[in-house]
Amino acid sequence: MAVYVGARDLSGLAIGTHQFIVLTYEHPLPLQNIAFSQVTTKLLGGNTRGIVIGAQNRGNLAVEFFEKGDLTAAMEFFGGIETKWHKSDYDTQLMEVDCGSLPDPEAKRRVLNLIESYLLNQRNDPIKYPTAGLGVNSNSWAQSVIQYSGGKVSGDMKGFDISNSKRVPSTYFKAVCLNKPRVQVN
Amino acid sequence: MNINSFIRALLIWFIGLPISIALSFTLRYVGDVNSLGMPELLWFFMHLCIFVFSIIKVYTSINQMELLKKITVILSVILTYGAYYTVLTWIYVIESGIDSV
Repeated sequence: MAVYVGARDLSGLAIGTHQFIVLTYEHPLPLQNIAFSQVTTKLLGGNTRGIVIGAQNRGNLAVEFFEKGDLTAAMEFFGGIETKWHKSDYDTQLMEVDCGSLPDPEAKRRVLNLIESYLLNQRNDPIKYPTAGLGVNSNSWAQSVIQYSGGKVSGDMKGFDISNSKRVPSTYFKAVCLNKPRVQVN
Repeated sequence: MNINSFIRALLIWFIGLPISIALSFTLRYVGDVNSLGMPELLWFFMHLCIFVFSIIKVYTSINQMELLKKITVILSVILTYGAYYTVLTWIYVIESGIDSV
């Protein structure tokens, strides 16, 4: 089981790609408290269970677990939802993150810790979602989490995934009070 | 070239598309505000119908032109429609939080 970065089509748009993160597990996890959410795994398809996380435009760059589009896309990939030629789908691409010598559970724990810190920091100092998505966006967020966790994955996935090379400032992922103001984005 | 018919044909697209967006915007409040308010296939089919209808009207309005000019006009219109479609739907979908890049 692994850490993945996913890329999917956007609902209602002929162009554009949204990136998100999928953590997969063989067995169900007990309910976990991650910042303000209680999270457990969901069946994605076959024997694969997982946690699906992505950033969304909710006025701010808000992180959501199991957002409808992200979950459906992950389920399409793992076979939990069957795609048909006459029905629209997310054309999902998932790339496994290279975590180096880091054991799989430790890699996932790092990712979840970063996300928890982001959620807490967002509450106090939110990042505004950029106008028309042209700035630090969900693609930047997914790639930032992977980079700060020490993982390696291609940032340039299928389609028009703008801002995949931009990064959310690392201070948003730190579980400490800062003695200087954060670098502001968007 | 019948200018009035040509302008009317263009308006089918330039007004029809915002109307379809307004319809979607209204329907979202019946269900989920973070969705299109209608199945995605219907959303795209609606746009395809408006596009095809408008292009047919454009074609009939320039029927008297010679072939090369006719092709140039049609291609220019299609390019303009494409740019307008991309910008308008992008702003609508992203800015209203239906989906996010």
